[in-house]
Amino acid sequence: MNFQLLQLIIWPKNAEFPPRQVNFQPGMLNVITGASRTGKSAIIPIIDYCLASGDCSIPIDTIRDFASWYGIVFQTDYEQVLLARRVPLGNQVSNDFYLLRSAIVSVPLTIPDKNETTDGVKNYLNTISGMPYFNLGGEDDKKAYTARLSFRDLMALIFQSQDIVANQNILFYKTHAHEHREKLRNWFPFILGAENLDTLKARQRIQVIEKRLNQLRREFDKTKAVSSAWKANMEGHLRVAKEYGLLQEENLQNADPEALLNMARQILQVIPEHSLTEFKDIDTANKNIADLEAEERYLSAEIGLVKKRLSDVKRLSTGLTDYESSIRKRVDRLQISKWLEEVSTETSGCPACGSTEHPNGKAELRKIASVFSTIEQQSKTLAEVPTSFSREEQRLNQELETLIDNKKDFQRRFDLIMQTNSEARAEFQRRKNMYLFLGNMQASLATFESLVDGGELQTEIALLEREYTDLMATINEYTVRARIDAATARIAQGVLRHLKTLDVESKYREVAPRFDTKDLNVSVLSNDNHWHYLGQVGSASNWVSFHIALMCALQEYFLSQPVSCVPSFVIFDQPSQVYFPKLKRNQIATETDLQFPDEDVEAVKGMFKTIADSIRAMNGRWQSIILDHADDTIYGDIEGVHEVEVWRDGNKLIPEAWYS
Amino acid sequence: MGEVLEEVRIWNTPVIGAYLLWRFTKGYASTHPSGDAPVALLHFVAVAILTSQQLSAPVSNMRADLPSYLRSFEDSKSSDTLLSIHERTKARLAYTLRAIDIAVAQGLLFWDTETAQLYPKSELKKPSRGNALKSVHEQTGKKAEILGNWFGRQDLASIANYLKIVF
Repeated sequence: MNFQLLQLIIWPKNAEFPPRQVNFQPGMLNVITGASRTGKSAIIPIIDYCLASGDCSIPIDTIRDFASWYGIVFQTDYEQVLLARRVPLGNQVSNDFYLLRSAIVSVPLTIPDKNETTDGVKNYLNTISGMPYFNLGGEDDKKAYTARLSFRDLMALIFQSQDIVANQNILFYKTHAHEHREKLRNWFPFILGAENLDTLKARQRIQVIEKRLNQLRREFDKTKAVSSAWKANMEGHLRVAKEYGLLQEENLQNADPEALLNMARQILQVIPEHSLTEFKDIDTANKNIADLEAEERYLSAEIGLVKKRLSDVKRLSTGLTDYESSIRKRVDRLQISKWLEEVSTETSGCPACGSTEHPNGKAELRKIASVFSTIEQQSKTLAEVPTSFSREEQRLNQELETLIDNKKDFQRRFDLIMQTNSEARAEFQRRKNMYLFLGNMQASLATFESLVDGGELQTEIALLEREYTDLMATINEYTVRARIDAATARIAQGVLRHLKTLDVESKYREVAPRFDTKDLNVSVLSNDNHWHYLGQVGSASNWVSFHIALMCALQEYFLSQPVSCVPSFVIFDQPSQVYFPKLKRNQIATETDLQFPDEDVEAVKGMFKTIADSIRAMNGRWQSIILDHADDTIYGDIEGVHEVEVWRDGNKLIPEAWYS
Repeated sequence: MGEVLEEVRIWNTPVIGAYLLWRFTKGYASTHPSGDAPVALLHFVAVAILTSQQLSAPVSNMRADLPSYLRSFEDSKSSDTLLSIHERTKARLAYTLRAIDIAVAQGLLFWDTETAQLYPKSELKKPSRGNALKSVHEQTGKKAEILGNWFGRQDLASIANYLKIVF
């Protein structure tokens, strides 16, 4: 997903001062260099906070005390977005957001008032990043670790804070917390594109099918168990029919079920119709039937409604959404102005009411139409499709199935009532017993028929089983596994390529490491041919190199995918810390004059160059920001590096004027 | 089925529409930061929402603003309904114009043709005894006003964005 930062803004508490703006270049390696305690490390928490973080790790005191709002401006494929959030109050994060979207955003001097909430912003971010509205385990799944993927979960992949960037055990931001870690692990196949919306949909559908199949199989087993008994029963019936002289057939014993059925059908076809029923029976029967018919009408209407909605959803989803290629497309514009213009030219009298008594009406309407047209031009936007959309289709399908099932059930009940009704009639026939028998036989015949031809049950079971197998192929564990392996192999190759320009022991530049999505860790081959996790590799310089190489390789991988939900920027906080350890206080003043060993300087140069090269290789489709002590003597002659600001000699994130 | 009937009933009676648009306009002006009246484009959108039971059901004081209204559709798993606003607006252009016209003719709304805004008449005489509105219209009127309140706090582009319509 194209998501690159353009600005970071802090609005002061004292409205006399203009907001503090830090400008970033998209498609470049942006560097903020500066001394200690100038606010560099506040950048990641501020951006994280603006992106609707549930907690706030912005440093307290200066950075919070003199600010009123924090904000960022970022660029997407379609527009620029200003996202600002009010300063937290004590430990309480703020629920007040200000969201402004436009082709070019101009930053207001003060934030007028909130216009969004945390939920609203999360929803917006989920929409633009195309987060699927599915849980991993199906709609009923309430487990937190497989819950719906959120834009927030992707923060792990874009921030490398000071404690992470050279950490030997943890590769990703905020994954110390078990909850974040588990969720990221579970969703990594999706993030890598090894699973997609189809897989998620299939998983939901499979749950429904499994339930339905179980139910149908139970029903089928039940009917099968009684079927042999029923054959004997039918034979008995036919024997009685023979006694009544209704049947000539001799050989009943060895007839197959189909032949038995035919005989029974023939007998029932030739019974003459009788109408000697009592009034009371007809009356109750009619009332029953009327009730049933009302129910039938209701069910049919419901089915009609759901079908209509479903077809609307399908039409919309083909016309408006195409998840594979792009999340949103243009829809036909409303163009009310054009319509109004047409109305006012076409009619002869007043366009609104048809009267000829107010001749100015037409001219006025045209005037309004032209104002509309100007306003429409200004507010031209794109319609985004909520990502919950595909879920709706799934749900409507399910609803339709339930309704159709209900209708089937209803039909059975209806048949039964009609049957008992005819039995009641038969009772009043002159040849009472024979007709009673025939009524019985008719009832048996219906059941027997449904058993003999396998019934709808079998067909339905077969259909569902086929769908089930097809779907299982979609979510096939091995296929997904293979796709994950292919993806991680490509990422590992990328890591290896970047390690060549980074400061690691030479043996790690020969064999590609393994990136494991289950452990969220990288492992390397040791001298004795065993794979070991990064934590077992010595030296912080190795750790930081692996972090940088992995981040570059991941961004390159995401950009190679047709769609990816991961924002296209990465921020590193002090990657050079392992080479330039924290300075003592009295050294700060002369920090720029410090001399570091040449090989350390070369290593840090390598970091900057590796990231800048990766961005250039991808034609500037991702962006990186480095916050570091290292200055332009290190990155000065590297192509693709943009020095954002130098925070030295009183120049800081929070201007001194704000608090002095 | 009843839903369609209800819609036919309201909009074959454009007087009700005129009343609803008046309440909507009042609601808008009362929350707009500078008390401004809405551009009439918004009336066309409001009609699409107010005429549908499904779309107007979540319009209530229980929801804080337009984004919250929006989320109600995702929460209730019917985001397809939300996407229908664009088409509904289109289908009801003529109705809306008639309703606006009646409202203007009855002195409920005033055109500012320079800016294409519709201003509401602020105070109306209380209806005399026996002539009060039926409670069902009072309720829809209340909804129209709430919707106006929400719209008044957003600019036109955000409204279009939220409701997934393209002018």
